[in-house]
Amino acid sequence: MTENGSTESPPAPSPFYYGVPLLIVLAVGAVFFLGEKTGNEDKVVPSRKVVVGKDYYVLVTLMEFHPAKRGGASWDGGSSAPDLYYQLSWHGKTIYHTKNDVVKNVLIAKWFGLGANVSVMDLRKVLSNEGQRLSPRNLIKAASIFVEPNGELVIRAYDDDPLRDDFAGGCAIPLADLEPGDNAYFIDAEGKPTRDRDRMAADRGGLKRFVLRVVDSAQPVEKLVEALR
Amino acid sequence: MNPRQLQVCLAAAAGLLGLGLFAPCMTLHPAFGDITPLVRLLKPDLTAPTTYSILEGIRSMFDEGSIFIGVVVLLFSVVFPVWKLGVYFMAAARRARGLDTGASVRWVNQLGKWSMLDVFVLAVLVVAIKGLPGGSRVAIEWGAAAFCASVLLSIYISLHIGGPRNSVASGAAED
Repeated sequence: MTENGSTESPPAPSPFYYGVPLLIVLAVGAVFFLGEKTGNEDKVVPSRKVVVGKDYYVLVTLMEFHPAKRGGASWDGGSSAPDLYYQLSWHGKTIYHTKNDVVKNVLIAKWFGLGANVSVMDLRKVLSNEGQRLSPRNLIKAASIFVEPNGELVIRAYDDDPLRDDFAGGCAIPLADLEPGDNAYFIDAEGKPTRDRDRMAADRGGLKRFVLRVVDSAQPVEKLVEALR
Repeated sequence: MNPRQLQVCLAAAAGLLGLGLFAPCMTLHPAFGDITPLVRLLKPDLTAPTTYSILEGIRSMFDEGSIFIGVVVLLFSVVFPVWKLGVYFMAAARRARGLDTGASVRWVNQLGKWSMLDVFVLAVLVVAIKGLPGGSRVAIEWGAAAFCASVLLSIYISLHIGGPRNSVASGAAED
């Protein structure tokens, strides 16, 4: 029917074909890996502001004092470090404080948004399915605020003393300036809060910096626990 | 199914296999019954959800010293499916040139029943973890669907790739 060559077998395909699926699998893996990496990098950039008209929980998770008070005097007697606590005010009213959760003899204090003062007997009741229940909502240690266009939150820091607490510093943060998550503020030479670490006053005394955590209060309990802890 | 269509299906099966191996396959949500909120407070790491792809699962088996199981899963969930698709690719290329699909296809078809082992392993893993107490649960992720789709597509291809067809000899005989 055809030419002379018709009785000869055509050449076998290149062994390269055996490797095609492996190349495709590796290519998909590489694309997936790169996509995941890019996605993670995107997550790092916090750009969202809080939404006006929404409720949030706020608390200070970290606060640092300078080694001396404003004016250079030492905090407590001798070389003792101060006993830190803070107070949050909104609309001129104190809405949250940690006077009952003072962090003693430190220059850097940390607070958590969740906690409970549960006695061993209470804990036994919780664990043994009888009596009281432990609800994560009851454990939230943060102030609740409603974001308004011109609203502001006032933070005041103190050194707890037996006779009279020392005021270490304070500032007002416009609510619209906040971002969900951790907001780091540094106190500059004029005593004003700034997000620019380079502008932080080196030896002003008193309050040095703090981190304000903002959490959307409309989240499910599980996510609230995750965000506040 | 002509060789061109076979190659497209094989490329799709390989792509799905790649997704199935690298994409999230399952997420384990640990729970500790009534005291889950308490554990979450005291030891949050214990309650954090963990997502695994098949390859990450195999790696963790090796890390934890389950070498034998790790090798078996690696062979039948990764090596065998890739090799099988490679053989089918070669067979499709041979058919495109009018050659016999080759003995290796018969080998793969003979071993085909072993390819279901990967699905079996996956199912056993899911059932085993779903049986954990305390309300722990496993969520199947889209990577598992991609993996199963790849296995099913390769089975479909095996039904159509056939034995010694379109060979020069048979073609000459038909002529």
